[in-house]
Amino acid sequence: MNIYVCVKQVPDTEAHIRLNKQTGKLVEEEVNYIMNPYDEFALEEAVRIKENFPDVKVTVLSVGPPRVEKTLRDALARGADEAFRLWQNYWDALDPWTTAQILSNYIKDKEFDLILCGKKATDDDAGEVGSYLGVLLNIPVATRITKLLLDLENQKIQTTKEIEGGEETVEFPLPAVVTAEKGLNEPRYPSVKGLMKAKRTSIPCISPDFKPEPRVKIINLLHPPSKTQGKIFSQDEPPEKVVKIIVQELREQWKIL
Amino acid sequence: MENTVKKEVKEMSIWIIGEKRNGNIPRVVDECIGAGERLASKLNCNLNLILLGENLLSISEKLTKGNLTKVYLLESKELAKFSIEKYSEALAQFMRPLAPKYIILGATYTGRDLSPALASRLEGSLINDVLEIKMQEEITFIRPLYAGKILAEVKPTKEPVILTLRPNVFPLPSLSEKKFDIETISINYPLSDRTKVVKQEIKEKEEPDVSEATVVVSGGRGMKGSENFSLLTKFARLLGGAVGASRAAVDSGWMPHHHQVGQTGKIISPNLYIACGISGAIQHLVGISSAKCVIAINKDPEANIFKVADYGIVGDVFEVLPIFIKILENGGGGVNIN
Repeated sequence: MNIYVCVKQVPDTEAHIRLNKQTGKLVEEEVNYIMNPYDEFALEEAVRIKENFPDVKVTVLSVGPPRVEKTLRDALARGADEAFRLWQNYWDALDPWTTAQILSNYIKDKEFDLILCGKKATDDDAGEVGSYLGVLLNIPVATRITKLLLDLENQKIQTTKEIEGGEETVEFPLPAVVTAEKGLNEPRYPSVKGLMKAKRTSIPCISPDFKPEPRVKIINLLHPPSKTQGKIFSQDEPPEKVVKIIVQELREQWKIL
Repeated sequence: MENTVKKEVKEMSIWIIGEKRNGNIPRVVDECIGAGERLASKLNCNLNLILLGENLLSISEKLTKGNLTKVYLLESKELAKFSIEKYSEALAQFMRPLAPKYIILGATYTGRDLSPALASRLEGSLINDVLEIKMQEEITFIRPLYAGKILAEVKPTKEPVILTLRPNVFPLPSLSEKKFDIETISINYPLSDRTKVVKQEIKEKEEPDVSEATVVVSGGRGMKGSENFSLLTKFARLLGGAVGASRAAVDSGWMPHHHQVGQTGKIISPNLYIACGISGAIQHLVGISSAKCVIAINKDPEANIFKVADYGIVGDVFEVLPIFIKILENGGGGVNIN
């Protein structure tokens, strides 16, 4: 069985993001990059399948510049068998659609049974690539899954996700794409053995001849208006009085209650 | 060139894909109508709404707001339950000949699951989680990056432009003055789905979903344990709101993940956010950066959450919350959602 996991390198979620005043672009040097947290769940699930079924190979793909190699090495250390970086120096400002095209162009000629992605990346918050892969490869998609049950004998898979007001479990044939939600599993840390292996494994860069035509273009980046601190009531003030003041202001000034 | 000429001949139109919940139209659909109205009046074109499912006529009567031109009911037994494949296929087949300019959905679970499938079938541009529509000469859109630490102004390069709008951000439309036409379309082409629903559990929930609620009462590490979240539930119900949780509370197993607010949870814009025992890690704060009013209750006067609070109460959550509940119970709750 061949599993592909698509991962993205993103700024640490604890990071402050700053824009260069002159260029309006992100100050990249200040950022610590990590594997997109949702992709960690996708990778962990792939590695668990590998541990529970015979003859499973886990391949990790990432679209990005050389710095992305660090994230791919991290994926190898956590149990992936091989990793490829897809990149061309002239690629710039890829949107989710063109990223999905690059990934599907690579995967489509390979033998694949299951593709795992995170439900979204924490940098662009789009949550589109996994769904586009399903359309481009013409295979079923299950988004935001919190449970996965594989039935290899019948080439079927069962997944569960949150829907409005409840939960839904669906079943579909392989090959398929699934996108991982938090709660799917508890991602492991790399083992010492894994780290050693990752160090030794080479990570090829594939440079497809592909001219991206983004469907969405970013024309401007801005900082959101910063919020100013309101009224802070200290511990010395009687809470009954404080709460009454707040409730009254919510009603009269904010028209909320 | 030929293509563009053809398109101009067709009437420009804006379409809203409606959603239904327990026999009702959720608030976010009205917000989509509100935003669609403004676009339609700027472009001087029709604004239509589509509902998909079974027995839609009764539910369409609940559409009372906004100046819609026409409501289309796409009826089929096959559409009784939401399915990404069937819904996107039915919509694409129906809309392709109409050359829509904009298609608007709520950025809900359904909207965000459906939008990429629909966008790729119609070969359009998709802009998710829109926070603002800039009505300049060229219409552009503001959406968040890094959970809202940065805002991006974006422009589509293809048509149709599919938008999902963040709930609670766009104003509601006025009550409609004129009655719109309703047309029922029976789907006569086959709809298939490789995905089969095995089990679906819909709870008749007393609370709205965190990402759509106008009031969210959230708890963090300071709540000390899952058993104390019942206090937040009581408070939230009084306000007609939902219960949220910080990552710390979710990672401790006190609340399920779909209650988590923040960069690895839900990014929300309620009218009122009440943070109880939440210190305010940056990844939490960005998740509420577009909340209209923030109240924070925390023992630690140095807690980060106070920096973004409109009202901060330095004190014990377990002392302050019961007072809030008592005062609201006596003074009448009921949230003015407008």
